[in-house]
Amino acid sequence: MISNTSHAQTLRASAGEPEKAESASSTSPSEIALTNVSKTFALGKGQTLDAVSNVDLNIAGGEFIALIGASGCGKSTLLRMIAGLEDPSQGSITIAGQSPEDCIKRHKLGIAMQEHGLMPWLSAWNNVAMPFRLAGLPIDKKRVDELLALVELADFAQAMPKQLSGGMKQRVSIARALVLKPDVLILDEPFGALDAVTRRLMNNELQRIWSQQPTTTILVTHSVEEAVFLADRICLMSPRPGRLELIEEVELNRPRGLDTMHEPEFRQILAKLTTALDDVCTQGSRQ
Amino acid sequence: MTVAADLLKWLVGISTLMVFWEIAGRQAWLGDGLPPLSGVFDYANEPRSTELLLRSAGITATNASYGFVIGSLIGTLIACSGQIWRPLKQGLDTLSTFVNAIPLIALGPLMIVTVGEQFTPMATAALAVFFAVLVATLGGFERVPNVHRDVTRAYGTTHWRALLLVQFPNALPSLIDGLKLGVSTAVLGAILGEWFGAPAGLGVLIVSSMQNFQINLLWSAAIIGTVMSGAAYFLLALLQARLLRRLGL
Ligand SMILES: Nc1ncnc2c1ncn2[C@@H]1O[C@H](COP(=O)(O)OP(=O)(O)OP(=O)(O)O)[C@@H](O)[C@H]1O
Ligand SMILES: [Mg+2]
Repeated sequence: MISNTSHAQTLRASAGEPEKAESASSTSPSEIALTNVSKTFALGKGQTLDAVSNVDLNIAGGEFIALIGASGCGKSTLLRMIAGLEDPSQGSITIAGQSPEDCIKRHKLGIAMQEHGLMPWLSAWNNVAMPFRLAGLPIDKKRVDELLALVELADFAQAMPKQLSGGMKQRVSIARALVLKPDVLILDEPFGALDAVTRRLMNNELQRIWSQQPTTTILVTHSVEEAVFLADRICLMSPRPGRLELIEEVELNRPRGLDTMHEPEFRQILAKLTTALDDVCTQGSRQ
Repeated sequence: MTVAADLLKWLVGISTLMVFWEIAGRQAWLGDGLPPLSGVFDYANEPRSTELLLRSAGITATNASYGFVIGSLIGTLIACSGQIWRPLKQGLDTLSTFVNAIPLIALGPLMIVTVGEQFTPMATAALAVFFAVLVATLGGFERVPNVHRDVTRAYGTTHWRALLLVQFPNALPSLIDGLKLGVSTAVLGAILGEWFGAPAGLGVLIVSSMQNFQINLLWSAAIIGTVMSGAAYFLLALLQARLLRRLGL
């Protein structure tokens, strides 16, 4: 298995953000190790479904991983196992050498799921503040304001979820995932409800936030472009049962900006991965 | 808004029923047992009977209110405790599936020998409300969206905080449905409890007027009981509509 530690660190060093040293003292990005992880769901009546099969992956502290693959190939299941929401049927997962449950107990995990999962009875502000309450920590009001501003919803702090558009709700949910300065950030298709322009702007924002705050991030996305723009490495999963078919390093300099997407290297990686994704998906349907 | 519309529908229905009743009574379709409605009103308007009816209604209302408060508190608390202490949840879920099959009327005599005649009306009212609220609240906890459970777990929270911050607010609409249902069963439960031999109340009035064939008194008491539970139901429906709007649900 390739270890990507040095690579990720070099990239970060070249980013050279001045605030970095300060924020790095409060958190330490955790490395994640997946060893031979499989998940089989029992469907009842003796039937089973293999969702994820024999995944081996070492993710360096502070690395950004994007996970792509066909719908239903087990991406969300893999994320849920890393987040400690589902137990693997086989194999093991460790975050900074300990179990995902341990990471959860220390309130060091941030998560934004495919469904935004906002509490409909709480305003946007209170939804972003929710992790503080759940974790039993005093609410850092400045931090909540800061994150709402970051996702460009400062004017909607007091709006209720049903008054927000789908994309706005997803942005609130991302702010909520980031509010505790997590060591591990888990994002399942967080920009799915956004239009192309807002999506690119949000990608750029996420890229900026991530380079200021070293966070081991795993992002599931259907957009190869998004994956290439954000990730250090891209993992391509085969159709169900999901296996890691291909791991591609993205050697684009950081910080990346909106103009990065026009660079020839970017286009090249994008084309290569799009082809690989198409190949993997059509193979699956031919079987 | 919707509550007002509901109320209007009810009023239309009730007026139709009243007109029909008056005709049926005058024509004596059901014999002496169903006097004309105007006759019942005239009877209830006599100072002596008004005084008796109001006093009895007051006692029943008191019994029903205590029963309602006690029953809904205990029902809510027990349903919530299943969220804190998981082993209890299994038992509660099983209980809630056959609670509706328990005949309240069979429990009346048991109440008489355990809590005494004085408190039986309160106890039967409380029991009826308890069942309604327990079942509704447990149902509410079942309907917490999975993504809310995931978010709650991912931030490493305690059972208590999860209950207060996520599960309870999610279950609240169901709980209020249970209260709405419970408030009319509370009146019914209180009357039933009084029936078994309480010193006073609408239930007592119904039994004695039945035995003495005081048809007008019997109907007056029955109508007052019905109006009481209907009014309480609408009060709660109003409260529910307001609360849900407040909560943005
Ligand atoms: N709790 C569960 N019980 C049974 N089967 C499940 C469960 N969760 C997921 N699955 C199955 O596992 C497979 C993988 O699902 P998963 O949600 O991980 O896919 P995905 O890659 O995230 O798809 P998408 O891109 O559409 O979100 C699917 O076939 C799904 O039906
Ligand atoms: Mg998914």
